[in-house]
Amino acid sequence: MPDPSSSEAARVRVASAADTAAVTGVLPQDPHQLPAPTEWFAPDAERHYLDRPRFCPMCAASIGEHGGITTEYWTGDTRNFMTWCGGCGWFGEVVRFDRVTIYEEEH
Amino acid sequence: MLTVEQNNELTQVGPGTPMGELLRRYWYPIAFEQDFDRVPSKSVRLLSEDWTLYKTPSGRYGIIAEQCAHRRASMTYGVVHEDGIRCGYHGWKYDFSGQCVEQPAEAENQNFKDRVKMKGGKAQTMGGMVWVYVGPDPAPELPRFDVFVKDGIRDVGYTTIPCNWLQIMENSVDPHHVEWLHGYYFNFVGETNGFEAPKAFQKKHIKTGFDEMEWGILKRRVLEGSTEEGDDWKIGHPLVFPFYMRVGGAYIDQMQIRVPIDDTHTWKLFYSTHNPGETLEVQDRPVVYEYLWKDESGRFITDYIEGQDIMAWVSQGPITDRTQEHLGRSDAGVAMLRKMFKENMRKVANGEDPLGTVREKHEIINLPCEKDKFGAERTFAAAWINGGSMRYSPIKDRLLELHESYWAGVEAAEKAGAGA
Repeated sequence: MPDPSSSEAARVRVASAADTAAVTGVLPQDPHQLPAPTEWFAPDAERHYLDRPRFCPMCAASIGEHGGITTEYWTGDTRNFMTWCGGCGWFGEVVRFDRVTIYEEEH
Repeated sequence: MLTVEQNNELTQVGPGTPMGELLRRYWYPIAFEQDFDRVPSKSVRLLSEDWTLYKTPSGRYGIIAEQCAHRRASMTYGVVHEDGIRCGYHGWKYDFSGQCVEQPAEAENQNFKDRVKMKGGKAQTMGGMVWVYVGPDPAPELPRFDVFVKDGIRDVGYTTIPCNWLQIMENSVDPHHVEWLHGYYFNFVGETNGFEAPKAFQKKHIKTGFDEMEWGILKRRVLEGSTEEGDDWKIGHPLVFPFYMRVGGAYIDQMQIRVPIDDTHTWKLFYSTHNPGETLEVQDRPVVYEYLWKDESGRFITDYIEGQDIMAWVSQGPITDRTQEHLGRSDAGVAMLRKMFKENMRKVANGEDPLGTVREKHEIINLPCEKDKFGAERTFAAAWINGGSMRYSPIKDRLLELHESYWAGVEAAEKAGAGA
């Protein structure tokens, strides 16, 4: 168990709160966790907070609790979450989309 | 897009933070040798901590926390000895490790001094700069990257930039900014101000690639008019983890250095080695100069390459708010770099050496770097010197002459060959 007073433990607590928010669909009350509601991109930041992968697709470890990272980027309407798992080292993308689109090569 | 806590973790460099602990596993240049020609000590700030860097009469360098452990006076105004430094206020003396070894006003038979130890680090010189390591023992070897130790005429541009070092590093895995910021925008600035911007930077990117490698991330690009056989793709150049980028072309080799002073300030250096031809004069030290990035009215100076970069970095704010960013497909390198930082924070937390730690003694570390940059060949050196921070170098004319003379010789040889 990490020392509860350590920065590592603090990070784990924060990550756990974020993961709980994603499960419940309810944003955390701490206003520090998100940009102010009046900020320009607040809706996207909220969706990022709620939708980012919480568990590794390979080993199912918690991304937050194992020191991993998910960085979101967009391709058109498609949301790509470049994900690294600190548990097993899996590195790849989790992709959310509303429509499956296939681009045909020139033929 | 990141969360607030992720952004904080990636940008905070102070002691005890995950990024701060990672960054304390590397050597940093923090001063020039000539800084100690008139005075033996200098205040420096590194990784959100204040330090005194000093040079003994015989030429050994030491680094110690700036504030004396006794009554907090600055050690920079202390007395430098061969075996350490003594506070000017009450004479407490510290050895190179930071251990207090003398307390003149305290009774000799007490062991008070043994209980007092300040933070201390290691310091040594390479390439005309003073490098320091302030992390845990055993200190790794100082990496002797090629640019710092190879033959050539050297000059170093420097300035302090008021922003977090990470937003500068992310720029190094963002190839597309070159065709826009240094191409399209540069052209706009040129048209507005009546000069012709360099064409080499205006070519469109067809393809970019990123490979993780033993020193960081190797960046590749195919520009319009070139192929995968061109140097920009076949060789590429690396982001050297965690605070350099190696670039080059047309016989200029450069290391771009981003020293994290604290969370909101970065010491930004361009260390260049010019080595066309074989008959070069020998320098005792590199030529050092400060380059400008704001004009008298407070506007960013954007009529040269690095000035444009600084506008882009600083105008993001002291620390980029990555909860508000919108990354696209072309930002994949940025996401990859963040993953690399997280991965190595974890290694350090597990007691392992992070990426790029050198434990073996060595003469030189050669880094991959393209020679024919942007397919510009012989026009590239002059474009870079005139259109980059080297325009502020006091030896700019000498450098232009050096390169022009070399290429004139090549042309003459080609003509002679064609006529033979």
